Amino acid sequence: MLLQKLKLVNFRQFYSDTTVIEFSTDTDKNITLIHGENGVGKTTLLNAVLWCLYEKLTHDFERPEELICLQSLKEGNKNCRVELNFEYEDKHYLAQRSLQNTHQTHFKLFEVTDSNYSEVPNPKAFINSILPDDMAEYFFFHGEGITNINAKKSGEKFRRAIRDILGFRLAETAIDDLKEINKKWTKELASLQNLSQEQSLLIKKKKNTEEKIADLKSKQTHLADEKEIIQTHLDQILDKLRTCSHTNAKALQREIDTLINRGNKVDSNINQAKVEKQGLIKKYGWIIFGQKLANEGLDFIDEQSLKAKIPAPYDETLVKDLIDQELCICGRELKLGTDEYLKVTSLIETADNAIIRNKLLKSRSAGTNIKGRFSDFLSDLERIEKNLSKLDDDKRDISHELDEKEKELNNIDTDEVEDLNELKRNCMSELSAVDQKIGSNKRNITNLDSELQEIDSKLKRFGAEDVRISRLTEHQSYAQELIKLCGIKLDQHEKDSKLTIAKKVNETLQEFSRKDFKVKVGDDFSFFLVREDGHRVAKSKGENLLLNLSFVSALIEFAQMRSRASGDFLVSGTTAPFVIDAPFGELDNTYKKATAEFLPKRSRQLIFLLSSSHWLGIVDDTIKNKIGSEYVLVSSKTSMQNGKPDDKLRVDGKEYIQSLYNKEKDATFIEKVK
Amino acid sequence: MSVEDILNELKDIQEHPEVLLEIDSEMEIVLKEIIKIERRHLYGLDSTSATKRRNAIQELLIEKLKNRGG
Repeated sequence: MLLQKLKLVNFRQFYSDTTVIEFSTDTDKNITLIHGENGVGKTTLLNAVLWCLYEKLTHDFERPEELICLQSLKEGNKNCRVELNFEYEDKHYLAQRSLQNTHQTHFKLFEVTDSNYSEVPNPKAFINSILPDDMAEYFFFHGEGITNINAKKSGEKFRRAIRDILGFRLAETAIDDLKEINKKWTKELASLQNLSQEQSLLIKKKKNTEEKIADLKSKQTHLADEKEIIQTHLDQILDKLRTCSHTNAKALQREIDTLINRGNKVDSNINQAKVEKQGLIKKYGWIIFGQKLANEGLDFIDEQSLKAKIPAPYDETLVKDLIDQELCICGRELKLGTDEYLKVTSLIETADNAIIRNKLLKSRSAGTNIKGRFSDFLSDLERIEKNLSKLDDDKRDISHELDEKEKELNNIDTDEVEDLNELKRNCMSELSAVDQKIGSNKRNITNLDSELQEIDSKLKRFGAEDVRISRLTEHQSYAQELIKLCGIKLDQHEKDSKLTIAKKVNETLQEFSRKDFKVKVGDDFSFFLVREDGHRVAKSKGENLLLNLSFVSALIEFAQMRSRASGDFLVSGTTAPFVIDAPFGELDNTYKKATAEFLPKRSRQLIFLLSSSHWLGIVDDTIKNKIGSEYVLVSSKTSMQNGKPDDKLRVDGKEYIQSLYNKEKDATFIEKVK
Repeated sequence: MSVEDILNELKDIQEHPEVLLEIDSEMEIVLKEIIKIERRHLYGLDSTSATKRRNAIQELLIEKLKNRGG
């Protein structure tokens, strides 16, 4: 979505229909800059876009019920309207929302081809498909609003919206729909007439098992949510312990953190070693049996060689020569059909020749090779076992040390630490109870899954006798295959997306942040700064804003990148505009410069609404070559000036007076700079 | 294969880069069609109910199975 033109008609302080903004759609000069001092109408412009597309307003928009321009109301006009022209997937659209008689809003969306306007039938759903409603406030955001992205409530909305914008919800709904279709087919199976008792029982069992699995999976989702809540609570308690006033407690908690990290690393090494061991056994386990055969084979060959049986002591060529010459070595004649002839001829079958010598050589070499591999296999296995045993020792030591530190921490008897310790213990025991439930459910699901597989394979066998069963079971396996494939693809896309977004945010932080922290994107697209040891860090307001801005801009860039990916599984993503009102408030000059540098790089279209205090100086210097369109908001007042400032602003050598007094109307107008 | 042959191969690829594109499996193609149905029914111009959406997917699956000879 690229914004092209915004027109305000009697909307708030924008009187009449003279307010028209043409946004820059240029790829290089991608910034549209709108200057305006406080109270003139910058936030109104942002809200006009939000209201037009979603009928929503920012939380701090005062008196939201008064949308119609007061000046216009005085003149008896009770209507207001916002029109937004935009481009999406090479098509042009006009969104139009109007408010009549102060309470009724009407929304229409037209596709514009040349001068023809054809109405889009379901405009709300269409707009949501481009930029989801929940996401809108982050793409069109006001000042500090963005600092709340990771807060629990607004964060959930935000993360849901990310899944929408990246198209994951489509895949999730597809999986749910395929499951529902499968259920329908199971019902059809169950309602088949004239089935044998065995068939009916099996279908009933299938239905029950599927229901049990669905029930357990839904419980797993709830448990995962519960676990996340407890984990967040525990993180907060641990943070408090790390920063509490008791020096010893603070130090102990940090030591515990380090031990836990070491323990996690050891666990991960143990898993890695176990995987290596399993891989080795899978690849070379046959050698254990092969080695016995190889030994026996080699012994046999050696024994037979010793007895001069293998290879035979006579050569094939020699035997053939004797037959040709019709004369044996002993001097007897070898006449065709005689006993002597037949005896010598039979020697050809066992006589030594090049093929036998070659086979013998290969057998020896294979046997020797297997013996060699067996010894390599054993020494590799021994190495892994030694490593595992060392890791187990490390784990025991860490666990022991951890217990000691926890005891020490628990023995600190100041009220603050005691309370925190108590809360920590409760959280940890709750966490362990939830983990146990999750583990037990997981095992039950695995068992039920294999039961279901067994039922399905029995049903398939019945399919050979009954074409109705065969048809429905085939349909079900097809849907199952698709569910599995969709799940795999979705997982892959989620992982890729998180990695790409985290990489982009980290690039920004590495370049611009003063501290050497990294961003980590959680499973649910929550994101936070972490130290090298993996622990979350507390951020200043400025750092928080920098992180949030870089996250949203990375998301915008990623969504845009995905919109260009042809042939992709979800082919979602979109080119989204980034409209920001007063983004630099909490930032110092270094971070201001950083933000002004990376935002235009990451966004295809950037619209800044800035007061002179945000713009003058470092921001102006950084963005001036990227501005494609620029406006100044001018406030006209009926009141006398009486020493009030006229808010002069010099842009490109020209002076603009932003506050005009003693005028006929109270309203805001817009002047185009370029 | 001579250096010249390799250069010719590379030139061909440059002129027809589509030969390097991964070819979707039959199931991947069906999955993409399902996602298209989801998009059309959830967000598209003919946004409809869950039942209609599922019916459309079910029809697609049956059609695909028929073509498979099932």
